[in-house]
Amino acid sequence: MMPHRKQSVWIISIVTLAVVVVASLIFGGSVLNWDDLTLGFTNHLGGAATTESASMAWTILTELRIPRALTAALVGSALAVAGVLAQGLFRENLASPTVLGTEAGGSIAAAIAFMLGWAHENPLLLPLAAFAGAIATTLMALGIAKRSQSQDSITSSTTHIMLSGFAINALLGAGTSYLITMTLEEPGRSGRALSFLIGGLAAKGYEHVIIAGVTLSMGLIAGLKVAAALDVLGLGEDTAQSLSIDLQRLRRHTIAVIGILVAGAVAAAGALPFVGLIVPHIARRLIGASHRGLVALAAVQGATLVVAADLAARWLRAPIELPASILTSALGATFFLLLLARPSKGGSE
Amino acid sequence: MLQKSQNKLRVQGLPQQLSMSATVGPWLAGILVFLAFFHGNFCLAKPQRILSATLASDEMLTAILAASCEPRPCQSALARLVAVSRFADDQRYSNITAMASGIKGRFHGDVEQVVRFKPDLVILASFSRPEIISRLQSMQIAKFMMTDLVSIEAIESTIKSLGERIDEPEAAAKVVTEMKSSLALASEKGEKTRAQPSVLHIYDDGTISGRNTLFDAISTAAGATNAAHDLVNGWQKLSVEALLNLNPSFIVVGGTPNTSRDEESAKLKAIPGISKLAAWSAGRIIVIPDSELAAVSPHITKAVAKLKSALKNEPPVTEAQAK
Amino acid sequence: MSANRSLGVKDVSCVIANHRSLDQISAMLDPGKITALIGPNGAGKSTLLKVLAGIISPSTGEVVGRGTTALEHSKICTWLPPTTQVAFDYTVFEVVRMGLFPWHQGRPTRRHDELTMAALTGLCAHELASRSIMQLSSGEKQRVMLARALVAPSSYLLLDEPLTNLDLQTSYMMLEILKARAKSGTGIIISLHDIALASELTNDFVCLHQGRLVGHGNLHQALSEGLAERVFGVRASHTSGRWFISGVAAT
Repeated sequence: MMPHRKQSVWIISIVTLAVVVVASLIFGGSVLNWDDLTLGFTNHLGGAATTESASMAWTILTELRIPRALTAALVGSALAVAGVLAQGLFRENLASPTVLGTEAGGSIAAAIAFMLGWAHENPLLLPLAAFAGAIATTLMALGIAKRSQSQDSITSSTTHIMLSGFAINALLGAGTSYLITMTLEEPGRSGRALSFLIGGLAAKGYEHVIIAGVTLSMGLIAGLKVAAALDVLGLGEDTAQSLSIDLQRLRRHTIAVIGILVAGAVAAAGALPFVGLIVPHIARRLIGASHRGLVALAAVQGATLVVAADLAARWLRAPIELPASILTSALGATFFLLLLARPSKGGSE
Repeated sequence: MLQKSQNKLRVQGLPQQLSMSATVGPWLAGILVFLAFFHGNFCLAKPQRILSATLASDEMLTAILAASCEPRPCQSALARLVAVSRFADDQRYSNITAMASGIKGRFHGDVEQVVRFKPDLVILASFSRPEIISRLQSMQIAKFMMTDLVSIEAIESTIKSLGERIDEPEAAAKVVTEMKSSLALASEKGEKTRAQPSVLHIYDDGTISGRNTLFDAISTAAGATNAAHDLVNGWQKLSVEALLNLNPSFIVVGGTPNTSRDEESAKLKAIPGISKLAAWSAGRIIVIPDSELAAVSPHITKAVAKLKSALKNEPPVTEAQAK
Repeated sequence: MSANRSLGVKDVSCVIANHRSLDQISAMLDPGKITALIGPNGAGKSTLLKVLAGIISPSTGEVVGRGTTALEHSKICTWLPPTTQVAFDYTVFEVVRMGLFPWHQGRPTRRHDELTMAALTGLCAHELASRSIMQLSSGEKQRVMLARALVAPSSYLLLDEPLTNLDLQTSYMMLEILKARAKSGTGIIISLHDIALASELTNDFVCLHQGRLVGHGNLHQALSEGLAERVFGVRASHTSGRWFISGVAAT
């Protein structure tokens, strides 16, 4: 019954992830030859002499493709898990982690840091700026959550947070538009700073893997902890309270976890739309609404989506690279529509 | 100590010169090797595989390498440029489409391509994403960053720096000298002074070039005034009123090889307010190829020359006519 | 499941958004006793139940016998709202098991699973266990929610109009279940609109009107002469322990 179906969902998801990751290592702007790779590998282990094409293939694999695939997977996981948590916290199917403004805050901080020229002395400053911007926005959301605690208010605290998230996003959107007008005044830097508002996986290295990896692990562990409480929250705030849930604490913790996950993702790869919105839905359709399982499955499927999107971005119009953000929307939405088109099996398995 | 080792070697029967080099040589080699490893970007030999990622550096490098030619044949010099940017083939922007056809590689911005071209020097745009810079560092590939250039002096100084970087300082100096002389030709001395004509550069969408733009530098070098110099910094779209207030004597538009002057002028009609400008009604519209107008390279002198001659051939505009 | 102490309110007033929902209410629940909470809409029944459950803090007065921590209190009493808006597509089993959250805190053991199935079986809803909650009819859903409330081994049950949407059979089944529960020591307070049904369940009434306690005791005491007309707006008569309504009261 249920366990068997769940099991097959898990197996298929993990196998798909593995296949997609391997494909993204071999395919892309150019196809890496298997013989070259094995030769490069044995050479790396201290073996025999190597051919030029083998060492090139090995360099591309280890210096470029592996960190890129890893970053894509980790960022995809983080965004998907953040999406699950956001939808659970706001009890809203259409919520996404961007609703708190975290993503916008990180992107704009990176764009501004780039405009100010910080990136050239030390390229690591940019992800740090994005991270700081994202965390600052999250703290703002937390502060608002703390303020609106009165039980006498007509709108619930959670709605408050969502509304202020809209406002923050609007504010940052205005900031972005201002940056765009500035590009005409200040030639060169400003215009390119805008590229930071579009996410992508180009030229990512192990430093990005570390950023994304550390934040994902923190977020995943903490996310699994709040998952069960989010389940109960799904019965209503009053009911949850009567079942021993401390609403304020749950809100704060969940927002903080969402913040960390998105901050790490934005710092590593910029804003990738749609992942946090669509992957929770796909996972929920396949494995049910219990948040613990959702968080875990979304992590796997989010990784798959972004790695696949990045592969498509490199492959579709090679040698030109499309922005990965276009592909995350296209792939995610297509898959979701396919899922919707399937006749609903109801809850019975 | 050197004397002692020399004596030792001489005792073994080696002639003096050889023994000298035998003692000094290893030390020299050691110092050189040490320097090579210590100074990351230090190249013992001049860069033989250059990857140019911007059109500006494409045009600068082809000029420098061509100037380094005599007495060697040009092709081997140009062969040092293993890849140029994808804009080098685009007639709308590039001044070196002919030369580019002799260069095999095209760089599309993908870091993997950098590995495949195996460059020993990469010329990057100032606004390149920092991740690319990090990857070049971790793969230990030398790089040279271009900066934003909006004056002719800046272009000249970058050509000199680039020349030093690829170890062709004399060729670079030659290119700069040529630039200076063609600019000098453009501004003849002894000409009777008359009011500097005001010019305004307008894009298809109505954006105009103010100060701190290449056009501003071009107009000054051609002996004209940029009508938007005081009002605008960079590139802006102005309101109709502001545009009319500028009232330039001449309008300059960028052209492409495929469009005629009339076609270019016709494109301007869509811009609100343009038809009210005196320069428009009088047909004082100068078309200069976009590739030269926007050239961040020696080719900018062509734009200066064209502007100058276009202004000269027009009947002098009196103050009364300009109002 | 016998409680050690009573639960109740003492001089409790509740002002929410400038509206006095409760006005100096004092009432006590005892273990093993079923209290029917009656009153017209807006009388403050839901608010009183929420105060007892600890969801709303009273503006004045105190809740007697409340747990020292929120967790303890959530184990002492279980609250059930009239309707539950479930945000996501949980299975019926998952929903009912959430009633045990104060105990398993998200890590349910087999014991909790067994209790869950037992609760579902008790309400003849065990075949619904793997269905999706969002696809049930309102009657089925209410049965599931009742199971969610009953699964918890609490000392007190605070039920807010739990019999809405239930068919006759299920309503009467519920009465039996509640009586059995009370007999095993659970204290129950249940707000109902159907006074006839309530009088099948218990003889202990608390009547609220505009936030004030206007009557308590058996039906005759709780709804003394004329109170029925004033409070409920209906003409009623009380014959041999039964409650009959004969029409709308003249205003």
